[in-house]
Amino acid sequence: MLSIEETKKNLLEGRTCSLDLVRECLKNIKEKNKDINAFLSINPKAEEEAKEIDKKIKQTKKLPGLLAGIPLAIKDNILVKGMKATAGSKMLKNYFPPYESTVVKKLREAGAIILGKTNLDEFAMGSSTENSYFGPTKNPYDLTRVAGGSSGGSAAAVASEMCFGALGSDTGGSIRQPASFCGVWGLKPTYGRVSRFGLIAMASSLDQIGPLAKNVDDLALLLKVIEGKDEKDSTSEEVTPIKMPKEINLSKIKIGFSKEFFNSGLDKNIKKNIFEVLDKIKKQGAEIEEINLPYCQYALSCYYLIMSAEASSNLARYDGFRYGGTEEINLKDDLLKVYTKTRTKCFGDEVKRRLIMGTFVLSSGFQEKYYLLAQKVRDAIRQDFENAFKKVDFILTPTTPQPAFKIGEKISDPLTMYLEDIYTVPVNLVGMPALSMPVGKIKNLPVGLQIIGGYFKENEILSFAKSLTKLF
Amino acid sequence: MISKEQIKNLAKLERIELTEEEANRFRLQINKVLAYVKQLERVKFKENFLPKQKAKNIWREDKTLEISKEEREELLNSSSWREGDLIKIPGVFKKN
Repeated sequence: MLSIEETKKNLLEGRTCSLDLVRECLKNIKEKNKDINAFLSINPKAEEEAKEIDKKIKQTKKLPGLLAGIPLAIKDNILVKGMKATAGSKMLKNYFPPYESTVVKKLREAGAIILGKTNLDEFAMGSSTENSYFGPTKNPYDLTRVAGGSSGGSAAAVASEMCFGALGSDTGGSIRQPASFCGVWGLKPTYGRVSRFGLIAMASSLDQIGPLAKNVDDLALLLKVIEGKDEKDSTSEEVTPIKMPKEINLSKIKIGFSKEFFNSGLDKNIKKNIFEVLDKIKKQGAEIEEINLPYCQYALSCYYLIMSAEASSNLARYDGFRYGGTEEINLKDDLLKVYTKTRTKCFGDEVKRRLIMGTFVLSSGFQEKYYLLAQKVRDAIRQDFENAFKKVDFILTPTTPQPAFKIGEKISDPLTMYLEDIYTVPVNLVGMPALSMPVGKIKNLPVGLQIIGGYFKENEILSFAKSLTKLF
Repeated sequence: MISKEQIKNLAKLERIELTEEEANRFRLQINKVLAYVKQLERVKFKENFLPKQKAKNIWREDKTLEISKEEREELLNSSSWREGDLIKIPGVFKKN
């Protein structure tokens, strides 16, 4: 599959049309989705919308927007008007959102074709997409393995050429980890760069929408379209716009290396692979400096306390009446019984566990002891990173401690599953941007390199990443 | 550590009913996570550590935004039961 820029050129010069692109993707979906389960629903109007774009291109001899005619996929916790938004949950299986998320509105304004909605762990809670009510997404490289999560559907869809790019959401690694497992590019922007209006909330101080793509230019282009301040998301900020990435001189770059990210839980082959990457970068003249992030070892603990507390508050709104309703309601029951019946039947195990944990975390006694402590440690981790970026330009780590694991391998032990996110969660806690790029394979399973940068340094990260591509 | 009864009570507060099997399983799983989280007790802050307050409130005008009739219809239709312009739900209080 060609890159978005190359495809745009072909569209403009009449060598292809948007309808053909959509049909090519739909053909791939038809062939592969029954095995991979990346898509939950397809936009019935996709072909019609493509025809409209084709007509405009023919009439004006111009592309009506930065993503004109390009078929994209959207994670099913991001609202697309006219399509169901299930968030991977039985609770929302009938929910048709009455409005559009800001990111999708922007994609449409840029001429993109929304092809369909992709699978995820229920309410984005998980690291394997096994927690989806609609069944797990499988890894295109090995169907017995997970695609990662929670944006597993988006990553697998991009990897198996069912779309040209996709949006995901990242609360603790949910874009970067599946991108790494599926051998594609994924970026979690700085907290505030992209509006979350129309994202089904999980943990609001951590959630961020971002792109997944086949290469660095596509990734930058998608981010460029969706970013920006939005009055409907008060946490969004005015930003320096994204430019297309340009290769940089690596000899002027300082890389931070922190042993906290190369601990005992790291697969020895991944460790070897990432060390080789660091070596190659060093040979290009980049300086590698050891940095200390002493509080980082506590990041996962902080994350699980803060995330579950916020999730239990955000998910209180699901009562069975709103958001499409459910069939579990008997009007003869009293209200409390209806709430309980609905939530008992419509939430899956992982959601229930996190809600229970969140309520516990916020309960009297525990809150003082741990939750407030977690907030303080979060601040210490932030200061660790801020100090590190006074000395270095980027911090390089593996994206995940292991390559894609077997379906069913970790599902019965939540703590083992949570440890999957150990290298990605610190970044969400501090709100900085980070990218995962494919840097090789171990026994046919992709390995991801994580590049972390300072606040709003996406342009620098993307250009640096582009400069690395020629080294592999 | 957290007991099975505590788990059940927390679930009740979340409006979730658990079977015995679920309560047992969740207790084991959550306790394992809590045992891990206990590492926070070991955190030693530097003597001069001061949390920097980064959070700030963002305000907007408190004014009503009109939505179109179509949007209003869609919102009402996205509930499970509708009666006219009302959403129908069971009674909160029991009849005597």
